Amino acid sequence: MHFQDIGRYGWSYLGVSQGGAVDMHAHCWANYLLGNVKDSVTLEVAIGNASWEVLVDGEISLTGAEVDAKLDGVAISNWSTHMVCKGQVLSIGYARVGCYAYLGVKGGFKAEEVLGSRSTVIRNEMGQWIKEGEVIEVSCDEQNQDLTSAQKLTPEDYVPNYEECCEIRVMMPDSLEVSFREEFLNNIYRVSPASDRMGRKLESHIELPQLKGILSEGVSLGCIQLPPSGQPIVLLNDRQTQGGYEKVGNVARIDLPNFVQMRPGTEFRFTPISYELATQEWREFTEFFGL
Amino acid sequence: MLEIIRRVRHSETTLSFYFIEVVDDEIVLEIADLTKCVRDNVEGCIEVVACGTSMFVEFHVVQTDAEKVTREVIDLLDKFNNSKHEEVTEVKKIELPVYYGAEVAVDLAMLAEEKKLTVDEVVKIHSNAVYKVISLGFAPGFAYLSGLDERLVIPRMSTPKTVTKGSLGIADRQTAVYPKTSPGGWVIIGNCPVELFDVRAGNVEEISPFEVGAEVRFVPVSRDEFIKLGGQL
Repeated sequence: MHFQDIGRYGWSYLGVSQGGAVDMHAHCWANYLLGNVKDSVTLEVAIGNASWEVLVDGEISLTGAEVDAKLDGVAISNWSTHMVCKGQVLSIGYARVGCYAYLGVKGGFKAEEVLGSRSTVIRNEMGQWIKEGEVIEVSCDEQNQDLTSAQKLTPEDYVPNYEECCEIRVMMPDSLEVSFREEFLNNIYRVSPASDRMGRKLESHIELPQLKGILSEGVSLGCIQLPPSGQPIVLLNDRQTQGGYEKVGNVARIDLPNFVQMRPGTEFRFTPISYELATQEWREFTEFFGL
Repeated sequence: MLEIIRRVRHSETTLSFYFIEVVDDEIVLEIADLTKCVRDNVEGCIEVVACGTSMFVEFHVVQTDAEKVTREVIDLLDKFNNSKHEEVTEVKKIELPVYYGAEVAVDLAMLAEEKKLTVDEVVKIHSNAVYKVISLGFAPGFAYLSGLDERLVIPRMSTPKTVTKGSLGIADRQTAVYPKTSPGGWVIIGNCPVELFDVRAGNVEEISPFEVGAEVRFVPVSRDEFIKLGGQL
């Protein structure tokens, strides 16, 4: 597990990865429910199975993967806030649905700021894994605030069902050959276990045709690269800043949370979305959370 | 004269402008200058990156849009092309000390043998050349340098290994220094003891000595000098 925020922007030109929560939807709701500012830090927990002893009274939020959270052994709900008291133990099991769980705390977690962000990018030596026994702190004096606030819940319409997701929308450039485009969209893909925060490898049912490499150029979040192996890779938050594999499209940012939460082995299809619609949906998300 | 030959929209918030089909040292410098210009002048840009033959732009989806960014880049390019004759762009020159000793140059003997040269000849050829930063990527502060002498061209290793911080490598027609210890497949011929990526630097210009278009020379240093400069054996 490690700390994440919305990402480290403006340093790509020096080769710095952007980082940031892979499930931006869950991360943003974790902060929003607590009334935290947009730059607040949450704890991103991959796979689950962790527990924390509460050292000060406060308020937390849980979002993302379904991890059967418990407070002193009593089940507590996901996608909502909870009051916690000194001495209590918060525990989560292995993720049952989804891969990444987010733990928010009122005021956000305290983490070192590097180049304007508190996002952990291990391969850039920015931030670190949180180790067993480590004390993690809240960034300000929020824990002294009024503790009588009612539990807050994410509205039902905004609680994703990661299990139901079987289509991921993708923007595809006009320059792509029609035959390749059809082949790409007709294929069924399986999420490979060989995936991390840099990228998700996919296994396609039918082998895709080989594309020639390109000269190294900028790569965006959600970019689908096709290396000579014919198995696509979707680049994620900790991706390198440039890549030399042919790009076949880009996953809509609004669909990335569902995509990263798919468990290895999950099968899905890509469906096309226009640049206009994808942009409009992403703008709405960005405006809602004030990103 | 820089000209946009193609524009490709990648995602909601990203696009690339292409200027040439193959990397050209002169054009690299012009793209680097334009990139700085766009970074300083085009509203709503989050990332502007010079990538050898293209310029990558990521913008803020609320503050601007792809069409507005494109229009502003085209306008800037016009001004840029018109004003260029008057001012000569100063090329940044960087000199980096390198220890080519066998303790750190783990693949140097292999390269020399492969190329039928002596180790001293390889060092001489490598340190006599002037290199140019084509782009920064792979890792923070990792600069791809062009200008490698034909006699030293060698493909990257088939299996990547752990490469120690400061390692100076060769792969195909490029050379580069690994700013941090990381996995890598380049042929390692020396080590540079200088910090190449320092997030604690006082000002932005000092985070990395490299910028696209800059000229780089490697200056051989002795084992003692290498250690004095902070090099690790």
